[in-house]
Amino acid sequence: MKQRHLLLLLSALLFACSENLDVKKVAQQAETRSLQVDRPYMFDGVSNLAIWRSFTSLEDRQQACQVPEELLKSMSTADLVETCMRYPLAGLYMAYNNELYGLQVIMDGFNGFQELKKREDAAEKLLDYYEKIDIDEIVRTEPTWEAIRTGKTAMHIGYVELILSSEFIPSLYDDKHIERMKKAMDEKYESKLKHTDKLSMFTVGKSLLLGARTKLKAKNSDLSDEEKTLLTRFVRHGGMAESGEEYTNVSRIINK
Amino acid sequence: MKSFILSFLLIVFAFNSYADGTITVYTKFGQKVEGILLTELSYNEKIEQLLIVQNTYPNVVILSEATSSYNCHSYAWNMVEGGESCWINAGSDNSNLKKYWSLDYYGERTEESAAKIFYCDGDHSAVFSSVSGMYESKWGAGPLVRHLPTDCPYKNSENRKYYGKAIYSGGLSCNVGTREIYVGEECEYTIDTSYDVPYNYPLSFTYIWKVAEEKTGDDVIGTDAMVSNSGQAARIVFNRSGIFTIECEMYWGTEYMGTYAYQAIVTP
Repeated sequence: MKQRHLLLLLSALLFACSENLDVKKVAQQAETRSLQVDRPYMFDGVSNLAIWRSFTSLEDRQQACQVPEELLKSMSTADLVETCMRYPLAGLYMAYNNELYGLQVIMDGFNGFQELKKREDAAEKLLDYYEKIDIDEIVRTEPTWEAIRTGKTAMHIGYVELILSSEFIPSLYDDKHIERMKKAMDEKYESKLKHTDKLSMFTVGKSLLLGARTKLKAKNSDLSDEEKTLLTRFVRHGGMAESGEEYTNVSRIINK
Repeated sequence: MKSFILSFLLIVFAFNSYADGTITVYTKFGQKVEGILLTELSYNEKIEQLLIVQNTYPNVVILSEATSSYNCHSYAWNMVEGGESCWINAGSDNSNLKKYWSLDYYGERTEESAAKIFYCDGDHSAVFSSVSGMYESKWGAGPLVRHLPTDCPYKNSENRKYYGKAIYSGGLSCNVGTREIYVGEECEYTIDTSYDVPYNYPLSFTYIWKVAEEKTGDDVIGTDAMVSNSGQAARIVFNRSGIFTIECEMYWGTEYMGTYAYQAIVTP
Protein backbone atom coordinates (compact mmCIF):
# COMPACT_ATOMS: atom_id res chain seq x y z
CA MET A 1 0.00 0.00 0.00
CA LYS A 2 2.84 2.35 0.97
CA GLN A 3 4.69 1.51 -2.26
CA ARG A 4 1.56 2.20 -4.28
CA HIS A 5 1.28 5.65 -2.71
CA LEU A 6 4.92 6.33 -3.36
CA LEU A 7 4.53 5.35 -7.01
CA LEU A 8 1.47 7.56 -7.39
CA LEU A 9 3.25 10.46 -5.81
CA LEU A 10 6.35 10.00 -7.97
CA SER A 11 4.13 9.85 -11.05
CA ALA A 12 2.48 13.09 -10.00
CA LEU A 13 5.85 14.74 -9.50
CA LEU A 14 7.17 13.55 -12.86
CA PHE A 15 4.05 14.80 -14.59
CA ALA A 16 4.40 18.11 -12.81
CA CYS A 17 7.73 18.63 -14.52
CA SER A 18 6.36 18.25 -18.04
CA GLU A 19 5.50 21.39 -19.96
CA ASN A 20 1.89 20.85 -20.98
CA LEU A 21 0.64 19.61 -17.68
CA ASP A 22 -2.31 20.83 -15.69
CA VAL A 23 -0.56 20.66 -12.34
CA LYS A 24 -3.61 21.54 -10.33
CA LYS A 25 -5.47 18.57 -11.76
CA VAL A 26 -2.58 16.26 -10.96
CA ALA A 27 -2.44 17.56 -7.42
CA GLN A 28 -6.11 16.84 -6.89
CA GLN A 29 -5.84 13.39 -8.49
CA ALA A 30 -2.88 12.47 -6.32
CA GLU A 31 -4.78 13.57 -3.23
CA THR A 32 -7.87 11.59 -4.15
CA ARG A 33 -5.86 8.43 -4.77
CA SER A 34 -4.14 8.65 -1.42
CA LEU A 35 -7.39 8.60 0.53
CA GLN A 36 -6.94 7.26 4.02
CA VAL A 37 -9.39 7.43 6.85
CA ASP A 38 -7.20 6.39 9.75
CA ARG A 39 -4.78 9.28 9.77
CA PRO A 40 -4.67 13.02 9.15
CA TYR A 41 -4.63 14.21 5.58
CA MET A 42 -1.07 14.78 4.38
CA PHE A 43 -1.54 17.23 1.49
CA ASP A 44 0.99 15.25 -0.55
CA GLY A 45 -0.53 16.47 -3.79
CA VAL A 46 0.71 20.00 -3.16
CA SER A 47 4.09 19.08 -1.83
CA ASN A 48 6.31 20.29 -4.65
CA LEU A 49 7.19 23.76 -5.82
CA ALA A 50 6.18 23.11 -9.44
CA ILE A 51 2.58 22.96 -8.28
CA TRP A 52 2.85 26.11 -6.18
CA ARG A 53 4.42 27.94 -9.13
CA SER A 54 1.33 27.26 -11.22
CA PHE A 55 -0.96 29.16 -8.85
CA THR A 56 -1.72 32.81 -9.51
CA SER A 57 -3.96 33.73 -6.59
CA LEU A 58 -4.91 32.84 -3.04
CA GLU A 59 -8.10 31.26 -4.31
CA ASP A 60 -6.09 28.91 -6.61
CA ARG A 61 -4.11 27.75 -3.63
CA GLN A 62 -7.17 27.33 -1.44
CA GLN A 63 -8.88 25.26 -4.11
CA ALA A 64 -5.89 22.95 -4.48
CA CYS A 65 -5.64 22.42 -0.72
CA GLN A 66 -9.20 21.22 -0.16
CA VAL A 67 -9.63 17.76 1.31
CA PRO A 68 -12.04 15.37 -0.46
CA GLU A 69 -15.39 15.66 1.32
CA GLU A 70 -15.92 11.91 1.79
CA LEU A 71 -12.56 11.69 3.51
CA LEU A 72 -13.31 14.61 5.79
CA LYS A 73 -16.59 13.09 6.88
CA SER A 74 -15.02 9.76 7.76
CA MET A 75 -12.05 11.25 9.61
CA SER A 76 -11.91 11.18 13.43
CA THR A 77 -12.06 14.59 15.07
CA ALA A 78 -8.51 14.25 16.39
CA ASP A 79 -7.27 13.53 12.87
CA LEU A 80 -9.36 16.37 11.53
CA VAL A 81 -7.74 18.75 14.03
CA GLU A 82 -4.34 17.43 12.97
CA THR A 83 -5.31 17.97 9.33
CA CYS A 84 -6.26 21.58 10.02
CA MET A 85 -2.93 22.02 11.78
CA ARG A 86 -1.07 20.70 8.73
CA TYR A 87 -2.99 22.93 6.33
CA PRO A 88 -0.32 24.19 3.92
CA LEU A 89 -1.69 27.74 3.88
CA ALA A 90 -1.73 28.10 7.68
CA GLY A 91 1.24 30.46 7.79
CA LEU A 92 -0.40 33.00 5.52
CA TYR A 93 -2.22 34.56 8.46
CA MET A 94 1.05 36.34 9.14
CA ALA A 95 0.81 38.25 5.86
CA TYR A 96 -2.15 40.17 7.23
CA ASN A 97 -1.91 43.34 9.27
CA ASN A 98 -4.61 41.97 11.55
CA GLU A 99 -3.64 38.35 12.02
CA LEU A 100 -7.04 37.39 13.44
CA TYR A 101 -8.61 38.62 10.21
CA GLY A 102 -5.94 36.75 8.24
CA LEU A 103 -6.79 33.58 10.12
CA GLN A 104 -10.46 34.09 9.34
CA VAL A 105 -9.63 34.24 5.61
CA ILE A 106 -7.66 31.01 5.94
CA MET A 107 -10.40 29.19 7.85
CA ASP A 108 -13.10 30.38 5.47
CA GLY A 109 -11.14 29.00 2.54
CA PHE A 110 -10.56 25.50 3.89
CA ASN A 111 -13.20 22.80 4.04
CA GLY A 112 -11.36 21.07 6.90
CA PHE A 113 -12.43 23.87 9.21
CA GLN A 114 -15.99 23.74 7.94
CA GLU A 115 -16.12 20.05 8.86
CA LEU A 116 -14.46 20.69 12.23
CA LYS A 117 -17.13 23.21 13.11
CA LYS A 118 -19.76 20.48 12.82
CA ARG A 119 -18.06 18.16 15.30
CA GLU A 120 -19.40 18.14 18.83
CA ASP A 121 -16.01 17.22 20.27
CA ALA A 122 -14.09 19.87 18.31
CA ALA A 123 -13.38 21.98 21.41
CA GLU A 124 -12.08 19.01 23.36
CA LYS A 125 -9.79 17.84 20.55
CA LEU A 126 -8.49 21.33 19.87
CA LEU A 127 -7.62 21.73 23.54
CA ASP A 128 -5.94 18.30 23.53
CA TYR A 129 -3.78 19.55 20.68
CA TYR A 130 -3.04 22.89 22.32
CA GLU A 131 -2.05 21.33 25.62
CA LYS A 132 0.48 19.09 23.88
CA ILE A 133 2.36 21.95 22.28
CA ASP A 134 5.82 22.07 23.82
CA ILE A 135 7.12 25.62 23.72
CA ASP A 136 10.58 24.60 24.94
CA GLU A 137 10.89 22.09 22.11
CA ILE A 138 9.76 24.65 19.57
CA VAL A 139 12.33 27.13 20.81
CA ARG A 140 15.06 24.51 20.52
CA THR A 141 14.08 23.59 16.96
CA GLU A 142 15.88 25.26 14.06
CA PRO A 143 13.49 27.09 11.74
CA THR A 144 13.34 24.92 8.62
CA TRP A 145 10.58 24.19 6.13
CA GLU A 146 10.22 20.73 7.67
CA ALA A 147 9.80 22.30 11.12
CA ILE A 148 7.11 24.58 9.68
CA ARG A 149 5.34 21.65 8.02
CA THR A 150 5.30 19.67 11.24
CA GLY A 151 4.20 22.48 13.51
CA LYS A 152 7.46 23.00 15.39
CA THR A 153 7.63 26.76 15.02
CA ALA A 154 6.50 29.98 16.65
CA MET A 155 4.17 30.54 13.71
CA HIS A 156 2.36 27.34 14.59
CA ILE A 157 1.78 28.30 18.25
CA GLY A 158 0.29 31.55 16.98
CA TYR A 159 -1.89 29.71 14.49
CA VAL A 160 -3.37 27.49 17.21
CA GLU A 161 -3.94 30.38 19.60
CA LEU A 162 -5.58 32.44 16.89
CA ILE A 163 -7.94 29.54 16.11
CA LEU A 164 -8.84 29.28 19.80
CA SER A 165 -9.36 33.06 19.95
CA SER A 166 -11.44 33.28 16.81
CA GLU A 167 -14.85 32.23 18.20
CA PHE A 168 -14.89 29.68 15.39
CA ILE A 169 -15.76 26.91 17.86
CA PRO A 170 -18.15 28.58 20.33
CA SER A 171 -18.15 25.62 22.70
CA LEU A 172 -14.53 26.41 23.61
CA TYR A 173 -15.94 29.11 25.87
CA ASP A 174 -18.44 26.80 27.60
CA ASP A 175 -18.04 26.14 31.31
CA LYS A 176 -16.73 22.71 30.42
CA HIS A 177 -13.77 24.02 28.43
CA ILE A 178 -12.99 27.61 29.36
CA GLU A 179 -11.04 26.91 32.56
CA ARG A 180 -9.05 24.22 30.83
CA MET A 181 -8.23 26.59 27.99
CA LYS A 182 -7.24 29.34 30.42
CA LYS A 183 -4.93 27.00 32.31
CA ALA A 184 -3.24 25.87 29.09
CA MET A 185 -2.93 29.45 27.91
CA ASP A 186 -1.29 30.49 31.19
CA GLU A 187 1.24 27.69 30.83
CA LYS A 188 2.08 28.60 27.24
CA TYR A 189 2.33 32.27 28.15
CA GLU A 190 4.73 31.66 30.98
CA SER A 191 6.80 29.31 28.83
CA LYS A 192 6.98 31.92 26.08
CA LEU A 193 8.13 34.59 28.49
CA LYS A 194 11.12 32.43 29.37
CA HIS A 195 12.27 32.69 25.75
CA THR A 196 11.89 36.33 24.82
CA ASP A 197 15.18 36.10 22.92
CA LYS A 198 13.60 33.60 20.53
CA LEU A 199 9.94 34.64 20.65
CA SER A 200 8.97 38.22 19.89
CA MET A 201 5.89 40.06 21.05
CA PHE A 202 4.20 38.83 17.87
CA THR A 203 4.27 35.33 19.32
CA VAL A 204 3.88 36.20 23.00
CA GLY A 205 0.98 38.53 22.21
CA LYS A 206 -1.18 35.72 20.87
CA SER A 207 -1.40 34.15 24.30
CA LEU A 208 -2.58 37.52 25.53
CA LEU A 209 -5.12 37.61 22.72
CA LEU A 210 -6.46 34.24 23.80
CA GLY A 211 -6.41 35.37 27.41
CA ALA A 212 -8.34 38.50 26.51
CA ARG A 213 -10.94 36.56 24.55
CA THR A 214 -11.29 34.05 27.37
CA LYS A 215 -11.66 36.79 29.95
CA LEU A 216 -14.34 38.53 27.89
CA LYS A 217 -16.23 35.27 27.43
CA ALA A 218 -15.99 34.05 31.03
CA LYS A 219 -19.24 34.40 32.97
CA ASN A 220 -17.56 35.41 36.23
CA SER A 221 -14.85 37.69 34.84
CA ASP A 222 -15.84 40.73 36.95
CA LEU A 223 -14.47 43.26 34.47
CA SER A 224 -15.06 47.00 34.73
CA ASP A 225 -16.39 48.81 31.66
CA GLU A 226 -12.97 50.31 31.08
CA GLU A 227 -11.30 46.90 31.23
CA LYS A 228 -13.89 45.43 28.88
CA THR A 229 -13.26 48.25 26.42
CA LEU A 230 -9.51 47.70 26.54
CA LEU A 231 -9.75 43.94 26.06
CA THR A 232 -12.36 44.29 23.30
CA ARG A 233 -10.15 46.72 21.45
CA PHE A 234 -7.15 44.43 21.86
CA VAL A 235 -9.10 41.49 20.43
CA ARG A 236 -10.51 43.60 17.58
CA HIS A 237 -6.96 44.52 16.61
CA GLY A 238 -6.01 40.85 16.46
CA GLY A 239 -3.81 41.05 19.56
CA MET A 240 -1.75 44.02 18.46
CA ALA A 241 -1.29 46.66 21.13
CA GLU A 242 -0.19 50.15 20.34
CA SER A 243 2.30 50.32 23.17
CA GLY A 244 4.14 48.24 25.70
CA GLU A 245 1.93 49.79 28.32
CA GLU A 246 -1.16 48.41 26.60
CA TYR A 247 0.33 44.90 26.61
CA THR A 248 1.04 45.28 30.31
CA ASN A 249 -2.49 46.49 31.02
CA VAL A 250 -3.97 43.60 29.09
CA SER A 251 -1.74 41.19 31.03
CA ARG A 252 -2.79 42.74 34.32
CA ILE A 253 -6.49 42.42 33.54
CA ILE A 254 -6.15 38.85 32.32
CA ASN A 255 -4.27 37.84 35.44
CA LYS A 256 -6.40 39.61 38.02
CA MET B 1 -1.58 33.46 43.30
CA LYS B 2 1.87 32.03 42.74
CA SER B 3 1.13 31.91 39.06
CA PHE B 4 -0.03 35.50 39.11
CA ILE B 5 3.12 36.74 40.84
CA LEU B 6 5.30 34.82 38.45
CA SER B 7 3.37 36.22 35.50
CA PHE B 8 3.60 39.71 36.86
CA LEU B 9 7.37 39.51 37.28
CA LEU B 10 7.73 38.08 33.82
CA ILE B 11 5.54 40.82 32.39
CA VAL B 12 7.73 43.44 34.02
CA PHE B 13 10.69 41.76 32.40
CA ALA B 14 8.86 41.54 29.11
CA PHE B 15 7.76 45.17 29.28
CA ASN B 16 11.40 46.22 29.34
CA SER B 17 12.11 44.02 26.38
CA TYR B 18 9.18 45.17 24.24
CA ALA B 19 9.49 48.93 24.33
CA ASP B 20 6.76 49.65 21.81
CA GLY B 21 5.38 53.09 21.20
CA THR B 22 3.47 55.27 18.83
CA ILE B 23 4.66 57.75 16.25
CA THR B 24 2.96 60.36 14.12
CA VAL B 25 3.83 60.51 10.45
CA TYR B 26 2.39 62.96 7.96
CA THR B 27 0.81 62.83 4.53
CA LYS B 28 2.31 65.05 1.83
CA PHE B 29 -0.21 67.75 2.67
CA GLY B 30 0.37 67.46 6.40
CA GLN B 31 -2.41 65.23 7.73
CA LYS B 32 -1.43 63.27 10.82
CA VAL B 33 -1.28 59.49 10.46
CA GLU B 34 -0.81 57.25 13.49
CA GLY B 35 2.03 54.77 13.34
CA ILE B 36 3.21 52.13 15.77
CA LEU B 37 6.75 51.19 16.67
CA LEU B 38 6.81 47.46 17.23
CA THR B 39 9.71 45.54 18.59
CA GLU B 40 11.51 43.35 16.13
CA LEU B 41 10.80 39.72 15.29
CA SER B 42 13.32 37.20 16.54
CA TYR B 43 15.84 35.74 14.13
CA ASN B 44 13.96 32.42 14.03
CA GLU B 45 10.65 34.17 13.35
CA LYS B 46 12.20 36.10 10.47
CA ILE B 47 13.50 32.89 8.91
CA GLU B 48 10.10 31.23 9.36
CA GLN B 49 8.32 34.06 7.58
CA LEU B 50 10.80 33.92 4.74
CA LEU B 51 10.45 30.15 4.34
CA ILE B 52 6.66 30.34 4.31
CA VAL B 53 6.67 32.92 1.51
CA GLN B 54 9.37 31.12 -0.48
CA ASN B 55 7.55 27.81 -0.32
CA THR B 56 3.97 28.91 -0.85
CA TYR B 57 4.68 31.77 -3.28
CA PRO B 58 7.74 30.54 -5.20
CA ASN B 59 7.22 33.03 -8.04
CA VAL B 60 7.72 36.13 -5.92
CA VAL B 61 11.07 37.85 -5.60
CA ILE B 62 12.19 38.60 -2.06
CA LEU B 63 13.40 42.19 -1.87
CA SER B 64 13.96 42.55 1.83
CA GLU B 65 13.87 40.40 4.96
CA ALA B 66 10.88 39.89 7.23
CA THR B 67 10.54 42.58 9.88
CA SER B 68 7.89 43.90 12.21
CA SER B 69 9.29 47.41 11.96
CA TYR B 70 6.96 48.29 9.06
CA ASN B 71 4.03 46.87 7.14
CA CYS B 72 2.47 47.21 3.69
CA HIS B 73 0.60 50.47 4.29
CA SER B 74 3.61 52.16 5.79
CA TYR B 75 5.88 50.98 2.99
CA ALA B 76 3.58 52.04 0.16
CA TRP B 77 2.25 55.33 1.48
CA ASN B 78 4.83 56.52 3.98
CA MET B 79 8.28 55.04 3.56
CA VAL B 80 8.43 55.14 -0.25
CA GLU B 81 7.82 58.88 0.16
CA GLY B 82 10.71 59.16 2.61
CA GLY B 83 8.75 58.76 5.85
CA GLU B 84 10.07 57.08 8.98
CA SER B 85 9.91 53.34 9.37
CA CYS B 86 6.85 52.30 11.39
CA TRP B 87 3.78 50.10 11.27
CA ILE B 88 0.58 51.78 10.05
CA ASN B 89 -2.82 50.19 10.55
CA ALA B 90 -5.63 51.20 8.21
CA GLY B 91 -7.97 51.81 11.14
CA SER B 92 -11.69 51.33 11.35
CA ASP B 93 -13.18 51.95 7.87
CA ASN B 94 -9.62 52.82 6.78
CA SER B 95 -9.92 56.03 8.81
CA ASN B 96 -6.19 56.25 9.47
CA LEU B 97 -4.91 55.21 6.05
CA LYS B 98 -7.37 57.02 3.85
CA LYS B 99 -5.93 60.37 4.91
CA TYR B 100 -3.35 59.73 2.18
CA TRP B 101 -6.04 59.87 -0.49
CA SER B 102 -8.67 62.09 1.13
CA LEU B 103 -8.22 65.76 0.17
CA ASP B 104 -4.51 65.11 -0.03
CA TYR B 105 -1.83 64.61 -2.67
CA TYR B 106 -3.30 61.31 -3.87
CA GLY B 107 -6.71 60.62 -5.33
CA GLU B 108 -8.38 57.68 -7.00
CA ARG B 109 -7.15 57.26 -10.58
CA THR B 110 -7.02 54.71 -13.35
CA GLU B 111 -4.38 52.00 -13.09
CA GLU B 112 -2.36 53.62 -15.89
CA SER B 113 -1.96 56.92 -14.07
CA ALA B 114 -1.58 55.53 -10.55
CA ALA B 115 1.37 55.13 -8.21
CA LYS B 116 -0.21 53.19 -5.33
CA ILE B 117 -2.53 50.22 -5.13
CA PHE B 118 -5.02 49.37 -2.40
CA TYR B 119 -6.48 45.85 -2.07
CA CYS B 120 -10.02 46.56 -0.93
CA ASP B 121 -10.78 43.14 0.63
CA GLY B 122 -7.29 42.37 1.85
CA ASP B 123 -6.35 45.38 3.98
CA HIS B 124 -3.24 45.64 1.82
CA SER B 125 -1.28 48.28 -0.07
CA ALA B 126 1.34 48.02 -2.80
CA VAL B 127 3.32 50.18 -5.20
CA PHE B 128 4.15 49.62 -8.85
CA SER B 129 7.48 47.96 -9.45
CA SER B 130 10.04 49.23 -11.91
CA VAL B 131 9.65 45.75 -13.42
CA SER B 132 6.74 46.00 -15.83
CA GLY B 133 3.51 44.35 -14.72
CA MET B 134 4.74 43.72 -11.19
CA TYR B 135 3.89 45.20 -7.80
CA GLU B 136 6.04 45.54 -4.71
CA SER B 137 4.57 45.15 -1.27
CA LYS B 138 5.34 44.13 2.29
CA TRP B 139 3.43 41.08 3.48
CA GLY B 140 2.45 41.78 7.10
CA ALA B 141 5.52 41.31 9.26
CA GLY B 142 6.92 39.11 6.49
CA PRO B 143 9.30 40.10 3.73
CA LEU B 144 9.06 42.87 1.15
CA VAL B 145 8.42 41.16 -2.17
CA ARG B 146 7.93 41.77 -5.89
CA HIS B 147 4.89 39.91 -7.18
CA LEU B 148 2.21 39.74 -9.83
CA PRO B 149 -0.89 41.71 -8.86
CA THR B 150 -2.94 38.68 -7.83
CA ASP B 151 -0.10 36.40 -6.75
CA CYS B 152 -0.36 37.35 -3.11
CA PRO B 153 -2.07 35.98 0.02
CA TYR B 154 -4.92 38.49 0.00
CA LYS B 155 -8.56 37.70 -0.46
CA ASN B 156 -10.22 38.80 -3.73
CA SER B 157 -6.97 40.30 -4.95
CA GLU B 158 -8.65 41.43 -8.18
CA ASN B 159 -10.64 43.98 -6.19
CA ARG B 160 -8.18 46.86 -6.16
CA LYS B 161 -8.25 50.63 -6.20
CA TYR B 162 -5.54 52.78 -7.72
CA TYR B 163 -4.24 56.09 -6.50
CA GLY B 164 -2.18 58.71 -8.25
CA LYS B 165 -1.66 62.43 -7.98
CA ALA B 166 -5.04 64.05 -7.34
CA ILE B 167 -6.30 66.75 -9.68
CA TYR B 168 -8.56 69.23 -7.93
CA SER B 169 -11.24 71.25 -9.71
CA GLY B 170 -14.19 73.41 -8.81
CA GLY B 171 -15.49 76.92 -8.88
CA LEU B 172 -14.58 80.34 -7.55
CA SER B 173 -16.63 82.63 -5.32
CA CYS B 174 -17.07 86.31 -6.02
CA ASN B 175 -17.62 88.72 -3.14
CA VAL B 176 -20.65 90.29 -4.88
CA GLY B 177 -22.34 86.95 -5.35
CA THR B 178 -23.47 85.51 -8.66
CA ARG B 179 -24.80 88.68 -10.31
CA GLU B 180 -23.31 90.35 -13.38
CA ILE B 181 -20.19 92.46 -12.88
CA TYR B 182 -20.01 96.07 -13.95
CA VAL B 183 -17.24 97.61 -15.98
CA GLY B 184 -14.87 99.38 -13.58
CA GLU B 185 -16.15 97.47 -10.52
CA GLU B 186 -13.49 95.81 -8.38
CA CYS B 187 -14.47 92.35 -7.15
CA GLU B 188 -12.62 89.78 -5.09
CA TYR B 189 -12.50 86.15 -6.17
CA THR B 190 -11.52 83.18 -4.01
CA ILE B 191 -11.71 79.40 -4.33
CA ASP B 192 -15.22 78.20 -3.49
CA THR B 193 -14.58 75.85 -0.57
CA SER B 194 -17.87 74.04 -1.10
CA TYR B 195 -15.84 72.15 -3.75
CA ASP B 196 -13.03 69.81 -2.72
CA VAL B 197 -10.01 71.73 -1.54
CA PRO B 198 -6.89 70.02 -0.21
CA TYR B 199 -6.11 69.63 3.47
CA ASN B 200 -4.23 72.62 4.79
CA TYR B 201 -5.72 74.91 2.12
CA PRO B 202 -4.87 77.76 1.57
CA LEU B 203 -1.45 77.28 3.22
CA SER B 204 1.14 75.06 1.53
CA PHE B 205 0.01 76.06 -1.96
CA THR B 206 0.73 78.77 -4.50
CA TYR B 207 -1.80 80.16 -6.95
CA ILE B 208 -1.64 81.53 -10.45
CA TRP B 209 -4.56 83.60 -11.69
CA LYS B 210 -5.59 83.75 -15.34
CA VAL B 211 -8.27 85.83 -17.01
CA ALA B 212 -9.22 85.19 -20.63
CA GLU B 213 -11.95 86.21 -23.02
CA GLU B 214 -14.25 83.24 -23.09
CA LYS B 215 -14.87 83.18 -26.84
CA THR B 216 -11.25 83.46 -28.00
CA GLY B 217 -9.32 82.26 -24.97
CA ASP B 218 -7.08 85.31 -25.30
CA ASP B 219 -5.29 86.43 -22.14
CA VAL B 220 -6.74 89.84 -21.13
CA ILE B 221 -4.71 90.52 -17.97
CA GLY B 222 -3.18 94.01 -18.23
CA THR B 223 -5.47 94.97 -21.10
CA ASP B 224 -9.20 94.33 -20.46
CA ALA B 225 -8.71 93.09 -16.90
CA MET B 226 -6.55 94.51 -14.15
CA VAL B 227 -5.62 91.88 -11.57
CA SER B 228 -4.10 92.28 -8.15
CA ASN B 229 -3.83 89.23 -5.95
CA SER B 230 -2.41 87.94 -2.72
CA GLY B 231 -2.31 84.18 -3.06
CA GLN B 232 -5.64 82.46 -2.94
CA ALA B 233 -7.62 85.71 -3.43
CA ALA B 234 -7.56 87.99 -6.48
CA ARG B 235 -9.10 91.44 -7.02
CA ILE B 236 -10.10 92.03 -10.63
CA VAL B 237 -11.43 95.09 -12.46
CA PHE B 238 -12.70 94.73 -16.03
CA ASN B 239 -12.27 97.66 -18.45
CA ARG B 240 -14.91 96.57 -20.93
CA SER B 241 -17.99 94.46 -21.12
CA GLY B 242 -17.98 90.87 -22.31
CA ILE B 243 -17.84 87.31 -21.04
CA PHE B 244 -14.59 86.28 -19.41
CA THR B 245 -13.19 83.14 -17.76
CA ILE B 246 -11.30 83.54 -14.52
CA GLU B 247 -9.13 80.64 -13.49
CA CYS B 248 -7.08 79.98 -10.38
CA GLU B 249 -4.43 77.33 -10.84
CA MET B 250 -3.18 75.72 -7.65
CA TYR B 251 0.37 74.42 -7.22
CA TRP B 252 2.06 72.39 -4.51
CA GLY B 253 5.67 73.43 -4.92
CA THR B 254 6.07 73.22 -8.67
CA GLU B 255 3.45 70.51 -9.07
CA TYR B 256 0.17 71.47 -10.65
CA MET B 257 -2.71 70.33 -8.43
CA GLY B 258 -5.78 71.65 -10.23
CA THR B 259 -7.85 74.59 -11.44
CA TYR B 260 -10.88 76.40 -10.06
CA ALA B 261 -12.82 78.50 -12.58
CA TYR B 262 -15.50 81.22 -12.80
CA GLN B 263 -17.41 82.79 -15.68
CA ALA B 264 -17.70 86.56 -15.29
CA ILE B 265 -20.39 88.37 -17.30
CA VAL B 266 -19.37 92.01 -17.45
CA THR B 267 -21.90 94.69 -18.39
CA PRO B 268 -21.61 98.49 -18.82
